[in-house]
Amino acid sequence: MRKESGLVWRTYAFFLRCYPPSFRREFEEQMLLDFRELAKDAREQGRGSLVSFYLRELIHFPSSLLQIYSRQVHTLGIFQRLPLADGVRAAIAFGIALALNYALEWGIYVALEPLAMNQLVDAQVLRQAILPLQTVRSLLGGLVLGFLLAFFFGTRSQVSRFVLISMFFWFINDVVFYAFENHRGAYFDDISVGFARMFRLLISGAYFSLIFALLRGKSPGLSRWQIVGACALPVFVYYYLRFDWSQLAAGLSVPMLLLLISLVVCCILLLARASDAESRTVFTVYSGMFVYPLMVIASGILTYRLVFPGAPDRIPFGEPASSYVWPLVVMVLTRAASGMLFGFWLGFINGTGETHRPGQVAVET
Amino acid sequence: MVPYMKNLHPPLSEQTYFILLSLQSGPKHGYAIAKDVQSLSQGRVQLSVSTLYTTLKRLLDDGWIRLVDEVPQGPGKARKIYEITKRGGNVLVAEIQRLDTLVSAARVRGLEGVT
Repeated sequence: MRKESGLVWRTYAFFLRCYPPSFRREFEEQMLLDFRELAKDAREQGRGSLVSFYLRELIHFPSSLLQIYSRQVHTLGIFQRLPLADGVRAAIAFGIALALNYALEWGIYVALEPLAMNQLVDAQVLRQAILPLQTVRSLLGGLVLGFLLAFFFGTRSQVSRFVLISMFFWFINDVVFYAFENHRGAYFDDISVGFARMFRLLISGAYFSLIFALLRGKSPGLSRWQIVGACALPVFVYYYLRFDWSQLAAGLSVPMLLLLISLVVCCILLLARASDAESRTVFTVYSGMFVYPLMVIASGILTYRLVFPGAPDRIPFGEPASSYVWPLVVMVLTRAASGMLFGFWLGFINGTGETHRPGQVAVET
Repeated sequence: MVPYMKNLHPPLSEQTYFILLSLQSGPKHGYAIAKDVQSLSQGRVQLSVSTLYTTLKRLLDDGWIRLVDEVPQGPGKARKIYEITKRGGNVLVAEIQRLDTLVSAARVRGLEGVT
């Protein structure tokens, strides 16, 4: 053996120590034998071939290591079970997206702080300033969720579908959110704040579940116009609440609100049916609708009553948001926790209806 | 799900496909597989040693190939010989059928032999 190739061989042998012991016991000797033989062949074909051989080994080595170690983690068991694996993936996606969304909201409040603190600025002007920024935040939230879900559940060609569906339904969700939250002072005077918030959480849960269920579904069963109608109705409800609600007689406001909520929920279920009748789509949306409020409330109770008693659970608009840095960390972590719990539920429930991943081929045994 | 179709696999990577194809013609050791894959792919797929053994490890774990023999190779050294299992053979056939379907679709559109 030449001196330089002996050095390379010893270097290669040294690098092989990076592999797990079980892999080395099984393959180290074979790898060294093959490395020597293949290097010899490459040398016979010329210096260019030899350099190309060494480069190939150098480039492929890290990815090989990564594959072997990730395989070792997978053989721990939990990740091999599809519902659990789906649950963990969805938990990561929803946890990150919801936490980021809340951090962005804080950023908007900080950006608008001078305007909000100025007593001379009219509330209408403030609302006009905040709405475009909230729209951008909403779309960004959907974008991040879409990319994460595409990364975990989709193929490369499905990325645009994942992102567009996530952005669209996250936006619709936020539109309904504003109907309940931002204008309740003007329109929900006769309803307790807790009542309105509960409905808002319920509908948010349904929309987030819908994003997941639509992305995991396969065959659309509704016509394009039915889908457009089901998407447009919540927007109509929002504008009705915003502009015409104050014209309604006081006694009719609660029944009307219930009716509108029922309509929105019907739309969500209609869209869920559009996804895939055979999988657990509808059940995912139903359960997600109720699990989301539970998870938000549970993580809220845990954080604000047990871990950080007395900490504010939201940044009140009109107060200096920049002074909320520490509570913000708590709030973001709480959102992440509730998002992860909720995401795990969605992934697990939806995963129990899956038999195999997209692109897999059945093999006769 | 059809009961006998309980083992599912994604489309094979090029390396996995050529390794299984190489072993289909008979048991081989790692070096012979690497050379055969290079020959089968007309020099296009050149397996690095790390890629070869990472793939072999996965195929062994999945039961698509198995160790059949160890041939002495110098003092205290032996080459391990692998062969394809029935399951691995079925996977290879399923993959060939899948590829054939893709090519057939191109043929339907008159794209056969387009270079």
